[in-house]
Amino acid sequence: MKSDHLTDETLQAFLLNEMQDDTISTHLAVCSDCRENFEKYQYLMVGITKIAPETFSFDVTSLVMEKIKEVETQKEKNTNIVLIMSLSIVSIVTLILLSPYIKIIFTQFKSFSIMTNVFVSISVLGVVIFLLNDLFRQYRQKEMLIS
Amino acid sequence: MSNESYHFSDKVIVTNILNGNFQDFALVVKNTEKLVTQIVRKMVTNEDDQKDLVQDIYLKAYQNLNSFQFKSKLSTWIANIAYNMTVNYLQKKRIPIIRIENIIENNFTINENPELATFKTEAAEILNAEIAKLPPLYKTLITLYHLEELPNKEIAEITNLPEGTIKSYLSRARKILKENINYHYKNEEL
Repeated sequence: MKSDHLTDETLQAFLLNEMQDDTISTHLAVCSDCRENFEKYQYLMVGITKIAPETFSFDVTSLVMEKIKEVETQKEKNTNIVLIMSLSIVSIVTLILLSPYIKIIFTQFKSFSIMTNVFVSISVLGVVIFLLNDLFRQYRQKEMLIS
Repeated sequence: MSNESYHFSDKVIVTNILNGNFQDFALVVKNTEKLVTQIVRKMVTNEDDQKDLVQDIYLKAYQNLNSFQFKSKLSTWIANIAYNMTVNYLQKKRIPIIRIENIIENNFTINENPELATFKTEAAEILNAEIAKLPPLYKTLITLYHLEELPNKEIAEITNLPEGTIKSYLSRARKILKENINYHYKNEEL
């Protein structure tokens, strides 16, 4: 048997303004069954929008940021380990490659006077301290910028 | 807010994070946690699992941020990750995301003429209980469409489902809700 009633899909689409058809409103005006069904959908949709959104019992932002900080710290540690290992390898290789020349360099120093040796040593030490200090200062500045 | 301004603010935040300011990710979490909460809470009931899932969702988003291409809103992209990871979780637990057998509790017909007034009483409480009984996917779609007021296009981006399928699932979910609420009240009257 063919039913002339409006389908649930039609009623929902009409209610959500997805479908605008005069024949629907005309039918609703004369058919009490469809009107009743339409009103039920109306109550349902109004009811759904009134439901308070659900929340978690925990603070999402703190929980997530804690985890990300943990991951970042681990990543930084890993980067440092890789850097230190690479530097160590480079230093060892350099030392091995330069070992035949080191002896020659030290024999050169033997021919200089004590005063010259002291002067050269202090100058080299001064430059190294200056460079390390500058490196550390730049590192601290970058660290402050990040935090 | 227009699409352009969404994309602009998303771009600023993402660029900052990718430049090493990982603390800015807190902004992303704050802006998207409501949407992610709706997806996870509607599909997963165990609180410990919810916690783990939320952490994993945002960690995945953070680690893959460089692959975000600004083709959608950042919130939609994160919601898509949340949806996929929650569905994976349900699949691992062998929980069907859409099971429609035995959902309709009665053989409701509109000719039975139940009292309309009953729809108004304790509506929110009953509606909540009936929504909770829906399959996970239906619950999520109802929430995204009616509570988050997202358009079908955005829901399609989040769930990777065609818009037509979403419309049809939403229609079916509303019909189930309407019929179950009607059945609930009819039973109360007896």
